[in-house]
Amino acid sequence: MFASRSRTLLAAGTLLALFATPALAADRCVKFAVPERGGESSSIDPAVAFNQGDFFNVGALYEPIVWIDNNLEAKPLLAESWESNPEATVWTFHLKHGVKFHDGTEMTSKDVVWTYQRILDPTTGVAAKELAFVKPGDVSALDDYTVQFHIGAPLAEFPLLIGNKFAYISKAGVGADELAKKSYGTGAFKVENFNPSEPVVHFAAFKDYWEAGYPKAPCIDLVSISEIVARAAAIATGEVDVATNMDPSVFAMLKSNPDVKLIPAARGTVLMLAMFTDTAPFNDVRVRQAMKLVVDRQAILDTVLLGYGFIANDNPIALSSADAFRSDPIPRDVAKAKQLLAEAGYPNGLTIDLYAGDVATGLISLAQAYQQMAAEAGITVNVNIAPTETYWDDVWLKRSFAATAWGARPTASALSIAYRSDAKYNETHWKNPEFDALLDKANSTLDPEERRKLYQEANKLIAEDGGAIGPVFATLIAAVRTNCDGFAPHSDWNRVDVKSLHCQ
Amino acid sequence: MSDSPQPDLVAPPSRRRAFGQFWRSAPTSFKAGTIVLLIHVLVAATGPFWAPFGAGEMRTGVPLSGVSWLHPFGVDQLGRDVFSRVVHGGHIVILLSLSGTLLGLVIGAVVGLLSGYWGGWVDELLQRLLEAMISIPFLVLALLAVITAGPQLSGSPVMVALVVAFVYAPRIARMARAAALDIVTRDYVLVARLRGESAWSIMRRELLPNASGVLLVEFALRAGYAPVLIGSLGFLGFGMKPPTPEWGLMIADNRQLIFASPITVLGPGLMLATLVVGLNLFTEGLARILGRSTRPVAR
Amino acid sequence: MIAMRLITGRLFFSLFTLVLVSALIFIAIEIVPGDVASRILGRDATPALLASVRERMHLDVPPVERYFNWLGNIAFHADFGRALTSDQPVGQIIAPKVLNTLKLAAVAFLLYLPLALIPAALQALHRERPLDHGLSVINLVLLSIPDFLLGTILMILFVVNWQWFPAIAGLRDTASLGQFLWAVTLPALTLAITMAVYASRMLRDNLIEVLDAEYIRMAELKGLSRLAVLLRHALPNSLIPTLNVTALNLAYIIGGVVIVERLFTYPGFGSLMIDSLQLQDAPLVEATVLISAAIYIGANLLADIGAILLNPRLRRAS
Repeated sequence: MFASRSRTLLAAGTLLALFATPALAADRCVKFAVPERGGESSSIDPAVAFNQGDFFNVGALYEPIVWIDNNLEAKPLLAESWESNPEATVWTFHLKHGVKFHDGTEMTSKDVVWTYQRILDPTTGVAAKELAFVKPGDVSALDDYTVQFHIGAPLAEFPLLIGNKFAYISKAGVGADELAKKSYGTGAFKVENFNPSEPVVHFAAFKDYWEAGYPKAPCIDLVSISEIVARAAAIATGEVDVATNMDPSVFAMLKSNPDVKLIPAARGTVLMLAMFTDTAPFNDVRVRQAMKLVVDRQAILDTVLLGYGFIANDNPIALSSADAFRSDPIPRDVAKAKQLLAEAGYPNGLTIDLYAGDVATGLISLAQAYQQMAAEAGITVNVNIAPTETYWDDVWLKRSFAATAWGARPTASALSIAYRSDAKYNETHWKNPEFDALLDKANSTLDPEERRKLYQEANKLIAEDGGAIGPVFATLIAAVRTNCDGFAPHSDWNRVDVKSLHCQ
Repeated sequence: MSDSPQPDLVAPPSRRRAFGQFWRSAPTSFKAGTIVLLIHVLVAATGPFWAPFGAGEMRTGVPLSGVSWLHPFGVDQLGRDVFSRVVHGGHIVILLSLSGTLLGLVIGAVVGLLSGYWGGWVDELLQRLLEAMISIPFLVLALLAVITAGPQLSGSPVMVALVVAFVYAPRIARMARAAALDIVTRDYVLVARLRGESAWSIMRRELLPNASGVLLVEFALRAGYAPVLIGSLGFLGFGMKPPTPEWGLMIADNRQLIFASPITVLGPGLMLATLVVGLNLFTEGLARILGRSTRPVAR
Repeated sequence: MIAMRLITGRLFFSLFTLVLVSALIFIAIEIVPGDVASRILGRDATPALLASVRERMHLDVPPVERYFNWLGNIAFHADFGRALTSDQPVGQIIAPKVLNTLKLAAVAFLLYLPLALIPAALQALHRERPLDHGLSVINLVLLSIPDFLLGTILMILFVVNWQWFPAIAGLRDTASLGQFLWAVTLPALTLAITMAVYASRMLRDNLIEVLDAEYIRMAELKGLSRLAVLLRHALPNSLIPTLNVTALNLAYIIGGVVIVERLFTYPGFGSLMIDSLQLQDAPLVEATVLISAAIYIGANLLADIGAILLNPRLRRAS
């Protein structure tokens, strides 16, 4: 009943839109909606970007030397090419010529060196933590267009890792105060006067952008609409042209709308429940295995994500990736789980507290679904929902069993960021020397096939011994009006590419 | 039961007749409210035993499949039957509202009556403090309480009841004080004071009984708004935690399904609204019986 | 003279209450675990980064000193300080949000007046007749629907099903008046209905009371029509008690508007207050809560002053 009624109205809406649009429409300002913008704390400084709105800002205004594309491979951006010595300890990047900053000056190697030195300073931001393999003194300029990194240990996939989400090049000598107000990047768009409390951020096309013909849109207006219902209605009625992070619950409605297309990203965000492997009862590997065996991966995919995602095998590598240790889902086995629990000394089941927050689509539903599934094996899960704002601060890394989510990353960084013994984000407190050795070996292995085998062993180890229950990848889906083109959501929710986006 | 042959086991006929008389002469709003409330209490008390599905049970039907005989309020995204959840949630909503309001009433009445009885600068200071608390928007008060409690306590029923009490106590205290100011001037309070009775005992023996009418209406009035308050907290994410089938929380959770299956919002909404209608009617009737006028709850 | 003294006393007390509010809020933010630095950094907080951010925000100054510095700046320089998160002057952040909420409130008020007055007048004229009972029932039902549910129902009807209104109320900065009105109709209607049901109920009872008064009967005997009597005599006389409810409603708009703002994505004052509280951005929280407290206290003060001035005994004494 609702469907037919809405279709007629949508048809009426289209008719109105036809009247409103001039016959030969020039490309116009694009209205782009993200779920959050951080309000007063939102930022356009690439070193201190923390939420979806910030990442949009950075993606439109700044560029890194190496771009991680939608398939999570390293592609040249501000660096045209790069090479390393055979040991993979000295990496040389050749910069593109003729790239201009928004103030008209040319980007050279001293800007790259300055940027890395700035972000590697632990008081600037958090990049230092993720780029721990580089020290500020390791980076130097050979000439105006050549930058070299001398790193302590071999790192075969250095280019993938150096294109970190914070490593966006800004003009040398420009400090945090100025970067907070105005853009000093080489991106396709620029912002003249940034005011975090304005509801709309206006991005103007950068006329001197190095790639001819880009950006396609004359300007972008960025808004944040936190309510999924409002975001869906806004895209359905054409109030905005692009809306990211759409929730599965509104797909049915949007699919029936002829003016909207749904565009999925190539890879997804992995949703996980992280157990501290050094804390009872999770310090017993049999308990961890039992907790993983109760998961009905397909049922979670069908309900929590309404089918919009992929199954995961308790590790951050997609089943379809060549780096995955197995390509079929681990089946559910409640009897085995019960048996393992009995062996571990819990014949009557056990009771545990699980913390979750609304920090990624589906996390709260996942916690509730897991609670039901675990109950069948005698595991009583008390679900605690913590406030969204304080979740990463008060709950994550502090509670022994908590929901978490990771954006898609290249295998090298996906495996190291949260699973190495010394990882700063080691959310499972998992310390496995065998695993660390595998990663070290992979880092110094230059042959891709050899490296792949090491990666497979490593993610198998996470799935079998580690503390993460990872049942699904949620596909990031953007809704785009059909009169717009050139936009696809990035596999990694931290990255945005809008230079080809345009609307008629 | 009424035609029981053993007269000593049933209530004396005179009392029964008195109740019949009272019921016949009671205002319509009181009768209607009582009936609505009785139905709600009955459903809340017995629901968990006859609800077709469990409160958290998944795979009861196709997610978001809409209204059917088996699922009168539809099926939510996790495949849970919304009707069963609503029925399971009744006692939570009612118990939380009553306990929160009761706690607020006890605290508010003690503070208010004592403040009115003591008078002087203590009273003046307390009044400023209460006014300051009342002037802070209740959502701010609630949020402060929730953040302070931390993630472990936030979302527990105790916490929600405490927040309700915390929001209501200053407002009730002000009413109680106004009543006390009137009562303390009466002779019997003066007599009690001259007898050397303590403030506490005067409050208990003289002030409380005489203010009971005011306090009863105040309690009913606040209790009528409590489900809304708890629902608002749930809606903003500061209330009960999922998967508790608290109605406000269900409305908030299912709000994103209004395109796919609006009934999952309207079902819990219907229950919440009828409960509040019942409480409002009951309060209005009660106030009329006690000869007091109701006023809108100052939010 | 007595009236004057009473009013001055009231003013003094109100000011004292406001200072009390500011102290309460400051203490609360201090005892709440975590601080604005950890809120902003969230998942990415490191001790070094936290320390540097805290220093930038002067969170290393002792709390008591911070409070009195802040209070002093307000008292002597009318300066509410800068937001910790964005380092912008608080006034600059709040002003547009207050303006937005005022605009929304203005539209809501325009809808509120007829929604409150017309049913009340109809009920008073048709007292204890089917129309009165019918409207009473509708009033009661609306009274029992929480604002978040009412807003959601309006959204299901007018946005999802009929698509008459947009789902987002506050996106167009440079919108024309017509566009603005079109966009804020639903949130304004939600607020107006929530407020009107309370006022309408009071107004009906007051109108009936006044209509029963002696002089109204006289006027009726003189041959004035019931409607004319209602408009000319009863309505003005019953407005004063209703003003009390309206004052309370105003306080409600400021304090509870966040729900409606969230529902319809309207960048108003309520969301700013709740957001800044969640970020624990003390200067912003203080300023926003003080504004809403001041409105509540001010509204009550006006009602009190009105009562004092209208009280014949006090008037005669002066």
